[in-house]
Amino acid sequence: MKRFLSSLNIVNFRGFKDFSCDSFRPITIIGGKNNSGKSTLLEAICFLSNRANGAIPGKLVWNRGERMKTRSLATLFYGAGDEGEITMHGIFSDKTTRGVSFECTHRSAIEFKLEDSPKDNINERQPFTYVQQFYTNRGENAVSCGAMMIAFIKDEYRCYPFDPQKTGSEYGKIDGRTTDDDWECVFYQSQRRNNISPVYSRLFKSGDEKKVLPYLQFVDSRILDIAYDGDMLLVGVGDGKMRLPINVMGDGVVKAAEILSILALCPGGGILCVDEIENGLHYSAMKELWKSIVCLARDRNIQLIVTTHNIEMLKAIGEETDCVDDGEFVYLNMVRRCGDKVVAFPYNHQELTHSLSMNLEVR
Amino acid sequence: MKTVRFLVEGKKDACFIRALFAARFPGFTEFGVPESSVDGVLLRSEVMSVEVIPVGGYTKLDRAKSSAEDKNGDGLYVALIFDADETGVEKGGVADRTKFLKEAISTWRLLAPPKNAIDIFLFPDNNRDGELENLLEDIVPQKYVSLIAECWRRYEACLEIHGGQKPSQKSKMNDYEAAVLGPSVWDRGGIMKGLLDPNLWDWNSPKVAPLFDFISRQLSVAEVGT
Repeated sequence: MKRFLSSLNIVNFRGFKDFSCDSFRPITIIGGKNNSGKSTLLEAICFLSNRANGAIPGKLVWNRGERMKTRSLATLFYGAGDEGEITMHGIFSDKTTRGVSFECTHRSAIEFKLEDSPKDNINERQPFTYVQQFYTNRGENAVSCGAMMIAFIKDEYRCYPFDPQKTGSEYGKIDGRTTDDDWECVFYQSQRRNNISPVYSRLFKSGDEKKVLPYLQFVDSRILDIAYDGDMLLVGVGDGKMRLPINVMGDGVVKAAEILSILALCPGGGILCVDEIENGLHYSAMKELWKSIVCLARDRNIQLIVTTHNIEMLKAIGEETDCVDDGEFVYLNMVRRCGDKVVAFPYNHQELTHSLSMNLEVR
Repeated sequence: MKTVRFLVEGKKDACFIRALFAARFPGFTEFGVPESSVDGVLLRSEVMSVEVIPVGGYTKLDRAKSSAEDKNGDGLYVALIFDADETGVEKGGVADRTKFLKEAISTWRLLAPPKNAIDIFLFPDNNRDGELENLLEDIVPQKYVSLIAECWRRYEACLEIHGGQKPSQKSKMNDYEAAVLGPSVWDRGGIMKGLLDPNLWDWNSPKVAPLFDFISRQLSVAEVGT
């Protein structure tokens, strides 16, 4: 892979007081006990990668299933204190760096500061401030963010150009873009809260479904073709005479279709984060799903960062990642140590497969 | 609580250390398996935990470096107990094996290293070439010595006369255990039954002293360590 996130430092974010890791690789698997910071690490990568998108802090809160309230953004800060500054710095394999700092300047305002390399570019990008206002209108929650407006309408999460003259409901009438548009990093959660239909819509509009089909056939060889009826993905199976809605297929196929579609739309050179990839999967489907994801990610030059604490998934990953070079793969075992310090212990492919074969605990 | 972690080659070595603790370290009680390895052994005293972790042989040591990480930050002390094997065999013999293991350890880049410099003991006695089974033969109690000295010696001689291959030291000790405990020793988990049977071994033999002293030294270092 030409360029990938290789190093990350996170301060004062969620459960991370001060976390550093310089072992990221194009295929990065993250394991660890509950509350060790696996999902938070994915959130941080998502935050840093999409830092120019004003929707990101609200989306992170929303994705955890929290209702947007005045104090919701405080949960992004270590100890939920909304004090001090959240800072993140990433270093990429080509030595370029990326940084963001984030603070609540008062109870309902947040300030972002961006920092990119090469340093010369910093002056071209003015630090910008998003002022957050919260209100409810006809049952719709909305947040206005200075340059853009984010509305939560049913399951959809949309982002519109901000207009101080408009009310929350008026924004709903504008054909705005979703917040998933043009993001450098896509975060696929274990518990799906977002409607995946827009992803399929974009997949078929762009003609990228052809990229997905062969990899979906790894997971279930009976699949002949896929189509989109304007609402949901249809899968042709058997003799090709019938097309079934994807939702009636097994969870493994549904999950594979979703992740592969997102991968196909992910910008080349971007990052796909998948939280608890094994959720809802029978162990026999894990190998095929993993093989398909890795193949498509490599074809599309996308960095994969995936969490799991399932031993069967790890074994499947170990076996099906046999073909990758050692420098391409890492498994990070996240451990929360005394003093609330989180450490990520790296294993290369050989170390992971050996540890699994020796029944050494790596999760 | 501080932890002393002994990295050993396989499950049989772990079982041997477990039996030695039961016989010679009365302050320690068995607590099942440690969190870090399903095949390991966990013992506890009032002041520390002892973990014995099989890592799969000397050639696999570099892949098991995570076993030397102090992941929880509670204070970890690590020592290796491996076979010396025979001089002339690849990286075998006390000198070459010690050199090989030290070099392997020196390449580890640990995020949370143990608090001590990792010490090495090689079976049978940190001085001679050989393996765990050589030490086992050394501590066969007097009442069973003839099973080795007479029966097995004659068996080896007979094999030689008839053109058979010399059996390994491992099969010698396995057959010794079967000879005393009967064929049931081969039942599931049976070979470990033999190691844990106190009648089969003289745990007070002077031949155990080098290993006993080595383990005692590791425990003392951990006890006084910060």
